[in-house]
Amino acid sequence: MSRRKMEKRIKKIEAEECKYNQIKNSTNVLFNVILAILSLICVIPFIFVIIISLTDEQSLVMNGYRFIPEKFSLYAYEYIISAGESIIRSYGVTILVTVVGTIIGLLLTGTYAYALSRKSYAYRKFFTTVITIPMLFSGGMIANYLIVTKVMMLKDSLWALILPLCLNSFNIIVLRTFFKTSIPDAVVESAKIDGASEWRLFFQIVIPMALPGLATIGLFLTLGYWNDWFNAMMYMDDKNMIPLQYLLIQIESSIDWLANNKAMMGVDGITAAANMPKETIKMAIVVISTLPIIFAYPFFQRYFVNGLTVGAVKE
Amino acid sequence: MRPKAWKRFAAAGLAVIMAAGLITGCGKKKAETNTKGEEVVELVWWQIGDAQKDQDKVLEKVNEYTAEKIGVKLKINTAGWGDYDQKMQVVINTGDRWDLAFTCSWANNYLQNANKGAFLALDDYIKDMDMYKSIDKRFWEAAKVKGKTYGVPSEKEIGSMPMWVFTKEYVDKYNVPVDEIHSLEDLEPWLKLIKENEPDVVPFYLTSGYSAPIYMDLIQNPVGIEYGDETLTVKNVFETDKMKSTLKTMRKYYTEGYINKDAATAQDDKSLKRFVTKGDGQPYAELTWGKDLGYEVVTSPIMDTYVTNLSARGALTAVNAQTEYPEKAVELLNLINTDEYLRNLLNYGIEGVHWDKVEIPADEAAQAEGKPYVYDNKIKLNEATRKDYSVSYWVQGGLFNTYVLENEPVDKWATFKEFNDSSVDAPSFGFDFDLEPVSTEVAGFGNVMDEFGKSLYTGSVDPDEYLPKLQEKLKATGIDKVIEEMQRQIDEWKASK
Repeated sequence: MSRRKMEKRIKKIEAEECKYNQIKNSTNVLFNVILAILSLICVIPFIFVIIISLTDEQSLVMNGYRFIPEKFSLYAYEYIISAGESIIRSYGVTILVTVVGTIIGLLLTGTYAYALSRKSYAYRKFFTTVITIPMLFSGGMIANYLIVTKVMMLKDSLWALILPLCLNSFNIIVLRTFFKTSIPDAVVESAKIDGASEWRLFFQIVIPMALPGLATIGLFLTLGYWNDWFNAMMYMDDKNMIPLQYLLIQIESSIDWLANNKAMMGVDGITAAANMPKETIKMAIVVISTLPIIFAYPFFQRYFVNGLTVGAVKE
Repeated sequence: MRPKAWKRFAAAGLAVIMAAGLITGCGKKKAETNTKGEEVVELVWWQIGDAQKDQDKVLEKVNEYTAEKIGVKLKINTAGWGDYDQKMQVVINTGDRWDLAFTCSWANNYLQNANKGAFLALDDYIKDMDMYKSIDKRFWEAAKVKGKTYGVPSEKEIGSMPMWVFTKEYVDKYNVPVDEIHSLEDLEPWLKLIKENEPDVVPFYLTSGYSAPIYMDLIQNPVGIEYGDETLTVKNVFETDKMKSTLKTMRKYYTEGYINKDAATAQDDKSLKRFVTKGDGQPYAELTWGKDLGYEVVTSPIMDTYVTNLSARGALTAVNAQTEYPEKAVELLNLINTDEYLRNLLNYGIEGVHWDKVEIPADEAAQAEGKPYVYDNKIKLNEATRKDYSVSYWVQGGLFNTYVLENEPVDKWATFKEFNDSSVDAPSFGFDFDLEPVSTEVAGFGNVMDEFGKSLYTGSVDPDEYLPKLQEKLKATGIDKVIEEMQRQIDEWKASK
């Protein structure tokens, strides 16, 4: 066979293979359209929320929700900034809890998972069992409450928002697997031979190598802290220390409840409802509380996919 | 080596926890005394509603006064309307420290908690208290569970008063004889008139919260005892003739186009013009409604106001069964319900900051001369600061020793008193249904009512077709068993009376 013939044949086979790995142009367009619609469905409500928050309250009452409102107004934001002292304070609480919580959470999860990933660690079995149990069984609300308030004495303390969320079995197992697969034993051994202590080994060798995994867990933790309101409901009686999301939930559930129980509450319900924030202010709070996390997301995302898939196989 | 390390670890952990306990636990125990030499104790009070920005400021004033007077300081905790139930369950069940809590028939369930032993039986404490004499006997009667009193009622309207609420504009325009319109059927000619002459107006505006006039004490919705039925026969409300004909009439109004089409799902849209709607009110409710809607309304009662356990338990304050200071807690409630200064301070905030006293016009004062619960002044809320402190009045205590607002009649509370006196006791008033034996059946009613209730009440569906379906589902859920059980309990109750 001549060389030319051979090349031709290879090309043909390659082309054939490519055929199987490609989708038809028409299908491609269809999928793109479908995905575009899906993403629009996700994005439009949020745009809508932003628009409502910028609508004049009066025209909202008269015309209902509209994409292009009759009259724009910045009143809702002005209100939040001027009168809504509690909103600003809650904002501070949320940010503080998220930052501190993520740092502590990463430190604890990282060290715990790293220890479990090392074959030479004697209590590996025991501590793996310890973290697997709460994945399957939970103590329930009352038990949690008793531990946090009676044993740990954390009631009305910001630690009550931070500590219960910082260590999570799922995160530990994901990260442990990540360490196992991405850090070869040989690297650890050679560092040891060069005289690295355990701490040095962890902070200077392991962490830089495991950045994608840590970033993923970091994102999980950040989202978890940012969105958490339940712990605040349980452990925070002091109205000065509630995070933003709980403030929002409170407003929302109060409005719902008053709407549903109007008949029961009669006239009292009207006076109670009159003190509720107006629609535009509610939407403005939603915007303020979600925007930062939306902007933070892209910075994590490049690690995210990588980190999650590598850690996905659990043994 | 290994076990030893373990022990050391555990011991260290324990030490840390104990140290933390010591630090947080010790801070509170400094004994404070007032000028009388009494020790001042702090009481924790849970209230429903939203936290107020100026609460700390107001509490500081309150505490100054109460510490001096009875040696009590207050700490008020709030949980939002929607969260209160859940929060209180946790607080009560975990043995958290609390001394006082808001409770009623529709939030932080009074009956259940009293039965469970979470609330302190107050009978021995309140006997000689001034509030025991001043608050209407029927409130105390309603507060009794198995013969014992577990809460101090807030004195307010004793029953809810179903009424038609007319928009004044059209009443004036067409000369509608509002005072003569009471039953659902009375409305018909006027609905027709409005429908024909005012195309922009919804003649009969209903929202999803609406329930057709019910002539029955719904002890366990939809089972109860009809008003005026002295034989105390337990019935399913949908089997009473009154309800059947009411639903028929509603359907007729709906098909005639008197009712807005989306009635079964609508939320109150204040921009919509309406001629009449139903409200559950109290004396002078039209002032509140009018303010809420932005135009004047006039009202007419649908039926007599009946007093039921549900309505008379509209608001109470209970004391923790485990509290360290039961006497102090009751003393505080007594003070709030009898002391004019303290009550108004708690209610409206600080004078000069949140509100100011205003004079009563001479002719109004003359007219109210000699009536009970009339005070020397009205109050005007400070527009700028009122949003920083606006609590729900009835959560903290009785209304009758609060000042009335500038735009309200000075004899408002006297009228309330008259209204309460004229309310009729439902035959079943005083009876508590123990739903333990039929709790599964009762739990199922909610779903059935959710499915059919709203659409039937608003006339959105044909009762001839859907009422039998509703009955069938209720039967399947076990309504007969509930009726039987309730009848048994009520017979027992009647015999013991």
